[in-house]
Amino acid sequence: MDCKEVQDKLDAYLLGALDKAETTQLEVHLAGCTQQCRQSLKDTMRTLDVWRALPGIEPRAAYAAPILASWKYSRKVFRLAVLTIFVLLVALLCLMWPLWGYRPQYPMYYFALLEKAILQYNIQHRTFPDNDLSHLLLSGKNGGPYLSPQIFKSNGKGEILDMWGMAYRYRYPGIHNRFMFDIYSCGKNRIDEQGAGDDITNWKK
Amino acid sequence: MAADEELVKKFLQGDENSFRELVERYQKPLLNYIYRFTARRELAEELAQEIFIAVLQHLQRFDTTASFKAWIYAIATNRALNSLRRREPVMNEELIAQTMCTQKGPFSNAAEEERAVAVRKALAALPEKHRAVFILRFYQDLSYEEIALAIGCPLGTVKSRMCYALQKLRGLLWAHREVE
Repeated sequence: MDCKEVQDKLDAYLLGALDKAETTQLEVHLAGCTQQCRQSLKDTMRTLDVWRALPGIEPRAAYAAPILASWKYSRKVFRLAVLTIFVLLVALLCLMWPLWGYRPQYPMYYFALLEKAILQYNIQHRTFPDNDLSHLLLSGKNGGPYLSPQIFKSNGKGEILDMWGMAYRYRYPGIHNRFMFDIYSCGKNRIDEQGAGDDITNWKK
Repeated sequence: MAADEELVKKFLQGDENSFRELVERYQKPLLNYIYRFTARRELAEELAQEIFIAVLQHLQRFDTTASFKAWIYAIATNRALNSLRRREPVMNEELIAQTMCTQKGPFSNAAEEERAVAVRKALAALPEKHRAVFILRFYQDLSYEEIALAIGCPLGTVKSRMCYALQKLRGLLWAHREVE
């Protein structure tokens, strides 16, 4: 490394930017060099001091307090938003719960399935079942079963049972539903009231 | 004095004063870093606050075995670079002259003031990546390893950028050096 090269690299040397090999070469040169390179080293140090003397600025205010306050506020808003969403979800679930429990609780659900099965039977056979619904649970030449045995149970006579264990009453042709069929369930009291009382019917009472 | 990483741990455990201490420790160096980088005081103040907010938001993800100093300067460098790219180019002689007129430093004489303006102009003339390396090493006193982490470059690149920056500054400030 010659004097010119050394002098070009003095600032990088002082700031530790040279690699090990270059640093060693430069130090070896400086140790054995004349006054000129050592003088350059001093000048470079002085120049760097001058550059470093560039005045800085002071913060106009302390940052910590407003930043922490704004962070706390945004965290509060976030928590409130999460809580609100949670409450809304719970409220929605509460509203949906009756619908979830609709199937086991509402006899009209079974009525709808039963009516659908009878109509399907009618499409297949071009006639309605004659006072006996047991065909609906059986498979035959023209299709079936029309009702799922997992949902509808039957007794030993093949009668289809309602949710209180009583047979559905079926009548074709219907008295209340002209040209169609009547079905009713004896209801919770399990007493056949011919469609009156708490009997559940597929016609308007 | 507790290490930065120690303060981060304490803050994550719920001690707000630790964050306060971190802010007090870094507010002036960060502000000056951005100020030297962008040459705009208002922007520097705005960015410094944004950086601390970003630090607060992402502190959970900070690896306490890493260097907090390098991490915070990485955020600062990214923000400063993005901010400069979003805005009109601000580093020009006219603006620096304007900055120097409105923000007088504690100069004891005209020569010092003139020298400071010259250094600022020379810094402004450096490409952004080289300027960041130079300021981080020269004014913020980060080690080359910390700078490498902060700007996401290999150590060799950081050192070569530093050499380039020095070479360029030397050329730009030749006249003033001669005066010295």
